[in-house]
Amino acid sequence: MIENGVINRYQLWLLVINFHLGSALLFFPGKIAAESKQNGWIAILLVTLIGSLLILLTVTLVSRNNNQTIVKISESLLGKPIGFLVGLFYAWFYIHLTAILLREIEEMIISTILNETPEIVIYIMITSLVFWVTYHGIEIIARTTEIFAPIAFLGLLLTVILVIPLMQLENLLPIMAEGIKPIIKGSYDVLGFTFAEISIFFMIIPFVNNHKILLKTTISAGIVAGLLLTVMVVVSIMVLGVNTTAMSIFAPLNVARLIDIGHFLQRIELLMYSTYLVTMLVKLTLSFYAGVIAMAQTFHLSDYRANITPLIIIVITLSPALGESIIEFFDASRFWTPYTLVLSLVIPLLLLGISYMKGKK
Amino acid sequence: MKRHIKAIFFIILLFQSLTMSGCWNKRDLNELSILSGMGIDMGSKADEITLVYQIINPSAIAGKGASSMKTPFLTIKTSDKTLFAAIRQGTRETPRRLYFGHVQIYIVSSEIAEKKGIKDLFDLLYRDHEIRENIKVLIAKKQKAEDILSTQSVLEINGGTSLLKHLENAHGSEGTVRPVEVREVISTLMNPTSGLVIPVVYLSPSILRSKLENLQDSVQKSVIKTTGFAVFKKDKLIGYLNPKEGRALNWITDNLIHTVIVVPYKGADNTVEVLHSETEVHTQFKQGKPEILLDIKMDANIGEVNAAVDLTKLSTIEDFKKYTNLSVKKDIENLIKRVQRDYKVDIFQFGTTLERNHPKEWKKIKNNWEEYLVDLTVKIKVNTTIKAVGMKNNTFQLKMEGR
Repeated sequence: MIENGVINRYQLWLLVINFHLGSALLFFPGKIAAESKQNGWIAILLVTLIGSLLILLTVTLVSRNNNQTIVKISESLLGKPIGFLVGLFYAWFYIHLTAILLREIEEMIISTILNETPEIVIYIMITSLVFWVTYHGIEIIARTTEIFAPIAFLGLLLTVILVIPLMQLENLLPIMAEGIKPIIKGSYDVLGFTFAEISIFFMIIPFVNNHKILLKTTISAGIVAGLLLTVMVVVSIMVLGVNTTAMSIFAPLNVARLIDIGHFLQRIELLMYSTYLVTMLVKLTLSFYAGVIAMAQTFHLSDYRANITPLIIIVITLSPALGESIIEFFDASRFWTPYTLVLSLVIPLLLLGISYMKGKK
Repeated sequence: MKRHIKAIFFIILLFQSLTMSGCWNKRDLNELSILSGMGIDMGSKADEITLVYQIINPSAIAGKGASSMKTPFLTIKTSDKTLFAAIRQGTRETPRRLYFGHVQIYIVSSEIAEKKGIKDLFDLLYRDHEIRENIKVLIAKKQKAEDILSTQSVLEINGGTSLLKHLENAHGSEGTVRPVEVREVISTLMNPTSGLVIPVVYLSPSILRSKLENLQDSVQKSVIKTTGFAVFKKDKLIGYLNPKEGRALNWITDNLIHTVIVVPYKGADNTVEVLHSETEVHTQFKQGKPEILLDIKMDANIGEVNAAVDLTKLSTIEDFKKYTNLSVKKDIENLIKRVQRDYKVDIFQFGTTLERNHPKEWKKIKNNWEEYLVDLTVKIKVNTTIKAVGMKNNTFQLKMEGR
């Protein structure tokens, strides 16, 4: 095994939740309100349902193949040359995703708080953290998450509680006035940004120490994450209204900015920032770690650590190249859902089919 | 080898914590001019706007030296074609960088709202990360925003805070006005079928009171008043609601907290104090025509009785309820008639309620909503519960008459 660390069930549970919340938490409400209007929350529930099926597929595939990573699975099922290409494809996806997530953090920080800071400073600060954690392996990633996740949840919880006075239930009406079509469209738009990225866990699940109740853990985590996202969408629409939510790039931040309890408890949107940064860093680290391991296994390296430096340089250079402005960056995300679905649905389904066929023999 | 890497990392981390402990674009408090209010007036040139800033003078506000002869704030103004350009011009006039994070009040003069409209005055407040979207907006009625922002106030030395508390006090106790935030202005403007109202502020009488000596005079030459609303069609100001109409509007939109109602009864004027009011807007369609039913429930106290009546009798309390209901109903009916006759804009947000309750029928009438609004049937049901009569159960006037 390339990595000796193991993680326990609770850590995996936290990793899955944080992974799904990272990036989605801030962008989802705006994205989904643009398509599904008041019914964004239904769209998220739909996404959660689809996501649970994707998790089921992921776990089934891994546990049917002796808890190997996707790279090893495809190599053993498809043979050396094709397996190598598939492994490379996955490794590329993980690195690409890391670059995108890094860019997202950078855009968020630059357009909300540090708008005069050079991008490279933020890139270096974040990647040096990612480097450090990845260098120490999956156990450290999991333990860091264990320590910081409560902060993230607390920030989210406090924000939601403190905006209760501003909520207007009527903003959620009418329900399903335009039929089901906008809901499906909205859920397709956002599917690629959380649950369809589950293919990262092809590289993480093999390191769990107890494989017996794996499915229960991952699916319950997926549902918890889906419900938290639903809460965030509902809160954004109730507080800001549909039109404003759809206009906002970081709708939950706008919600948190409005907190004002008696002109005293105010200007505490940093709660929301802390939630965002923690979940986002977990997601970023996981996807980078997955990329590093996938690359090492594809090329049959004995130690994955040698990969970290070159890959982090690739990530830092790729990130700014993803788009000149935030608009160009978001515009490119149109192709993201089909792209992620190929990796989390199409290829795993094919591999699962092949493994069943081979198993029967 | 491993030990070396650890050492290198430790040094890097140490270095980072030294150099990156603050934000890149940090600004210390003593480099900032903190704004507490902003205002917009017509510019001297036709295509320009004038931006007025109220800057807090920290050295006058801090400490116990309330008698210090320094002004607690100063106002400066700059003109340009857009808001942002005018703001950047402000740097010419102050030694410190302007900081907008604490702006509490945004005043637009009625002149610019009537002639140019307000749509060009709000995008920056919404887009910029420093300014907050819960700033309260006010319309300076037939006066300049500058005059109101430069008025010294006695009880609250900070001008912006003073205006904000003015507004909230009037909303909370009398209910003739209600704070409207920047985000509400924008979301109402985004909805083509609903009409915007913004609370009104004015100096009465219109005498500028910017000198600090005014603070030492117990007779104030002029006072700031926040009451009533300015009514907008799209983004242009088309008229005003007086305080009584403003209160009726708050009743309809369920924004009333407390108020007092004068109830004529048995030849004298009495006062009923409303403690809690809740309005439900019910909608229905009859033969394709919308109908509104307002269901208002109020809890009230009898606050002041000047008529010679026996308050221990239940029938007297019933009468009080009846006359209170009638008085409220009349106020609301008058407002609806006036809006249907003079303004023809949906400041009651009835359209939004119809859309929420009857999305399909709403689609059919949406484009002609103004025509429907003008002869919309609004049924009003007011239900007052009288909870208490104060500390006395009967009136001394009854004894005066020898009964």
